[in-house]
Amino acid sequence: MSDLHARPAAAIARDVASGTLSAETVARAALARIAALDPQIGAFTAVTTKRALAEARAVDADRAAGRPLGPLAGVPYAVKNLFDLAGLTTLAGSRINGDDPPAPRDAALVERLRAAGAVCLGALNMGEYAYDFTGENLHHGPSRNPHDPSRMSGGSSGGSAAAVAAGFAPLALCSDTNGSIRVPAALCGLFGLKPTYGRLGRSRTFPFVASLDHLGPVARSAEDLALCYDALQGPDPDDPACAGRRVEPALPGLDGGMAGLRVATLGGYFAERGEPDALAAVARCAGALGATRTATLPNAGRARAAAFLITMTEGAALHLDRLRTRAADFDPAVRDRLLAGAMLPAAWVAQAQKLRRSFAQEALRLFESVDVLLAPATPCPAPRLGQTEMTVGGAVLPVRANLGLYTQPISCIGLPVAAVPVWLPGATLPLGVQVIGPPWREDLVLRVAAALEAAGTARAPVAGLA
Amino acid sequence: MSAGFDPEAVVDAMAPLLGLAVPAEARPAVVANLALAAAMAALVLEDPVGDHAEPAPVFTPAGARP
Repeated sequence: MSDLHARPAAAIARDVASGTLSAETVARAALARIAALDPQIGAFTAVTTKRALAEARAVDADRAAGRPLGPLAGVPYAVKNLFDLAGLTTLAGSRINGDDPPAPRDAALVERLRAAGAVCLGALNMGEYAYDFTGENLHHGPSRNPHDPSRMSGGSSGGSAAAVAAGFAPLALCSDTNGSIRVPAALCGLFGLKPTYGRLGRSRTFPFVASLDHLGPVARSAEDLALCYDALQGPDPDDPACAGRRVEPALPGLDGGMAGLRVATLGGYFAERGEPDALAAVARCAGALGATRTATLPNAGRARAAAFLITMTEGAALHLDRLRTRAADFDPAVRDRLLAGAMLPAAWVAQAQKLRRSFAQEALRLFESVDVLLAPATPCPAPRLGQTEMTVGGAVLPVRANLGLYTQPISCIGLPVAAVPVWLPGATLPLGVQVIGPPWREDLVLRVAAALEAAGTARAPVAGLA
Repeated sequence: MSAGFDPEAVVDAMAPLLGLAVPAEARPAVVANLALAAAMAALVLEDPVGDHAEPAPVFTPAGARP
């Protein structure tokens, strides 16, 4: 059983269903690995040992009684600590929310995973109030990159990516407002899915920017990502942004290959400002897919600016009372951005919301002649912890605001994206590539991610921790 | 429209109106973030979306869709 930590979710579910492996054995192995190795990573802020064992035993009891098992039977997972877990206080990466009472009920997506038979290991570290691309946290310590613990995991879902890359769980749930699934997936070398805006219900998660907040999973294979995503789909009557579309499973078509798919690499904005290796990772994927076409989204830079302003103002409005009464309890780097956001003219934001719609139309026109777009996920591999500036494309840029410069224009218009991990020859750190599809075509981006994995271009090994 | 946006003057005027205290040690970062926002706004505002452009969010009177 020594390879349990690296076993895919799909294999665990299959073995638990067949009776060759008990869910309790899987849960105990995961809990033991977390206890032994998480002190050097900092992925978890709470380990729910009792819950994990109870859920695992319930799966084993169902199997013993001949009751049907869910598609994730016995699969361990954990959630970014902005998801409500009944009985735990939802921190959202903050010190302030630590004063809140325990959540009375699980988040909607946690309820779906539980119904699918998955086993919850706990709550994961994150950047304060999700306003972060680094994975650092002043209150709870940084979540470290398992491939090099002196480096950032990426944020804000840093603990989620660190946990999966460290082999603590094959799956974790995250949120993504401007890149918070795709940036840590890229820096930690994982597959990540940011679904279409409105696809997955957000009930009982702590919000950041209602206009832009998405939820989704990270995993170490395209199959596990699709398996988890399919289990997460469905209506959410408590989230007005949830479009309530019928469940459209991605797993059945995952191995459909590339036949008939038109792929283009995004140039212009998405080919500037990045280190050569970030662009080389995209070229490697394009080469594997036989994609020779380059396309542009001329207003990508403006879309990023629109997302930037909407984030600052909606985030500031959400936290305005806490900024008045608890300012000293914020991470100053987060607080100072929120303070500025509270002071911006409303006209800027109204215009930003109009620009979102026109940019979405620009993207839809492009998708008339192409099925999937490729772009870098980050401009560079994982920076060092504490690093505040980076040099990309000859320019010195602040790390905190710019790790997401390629992800931000895409989430601005809610397109589905699979982040895929690429290791260039000789590299000691991974890079990420965004596989971007038209609205509601998560199936396409996951299919392309699976094709890249099958070609050996994308891979997500567990980090070699000792 | 963001031309002439003076972050220092904005902090002085807006912080008291909003009931926000900006401690001296935070002021340079708040000003820098306002300047960055103004640069972003310049990008957004130079796009002539026109009077009839609709914003992205659409209100659904019945609440959550089925």
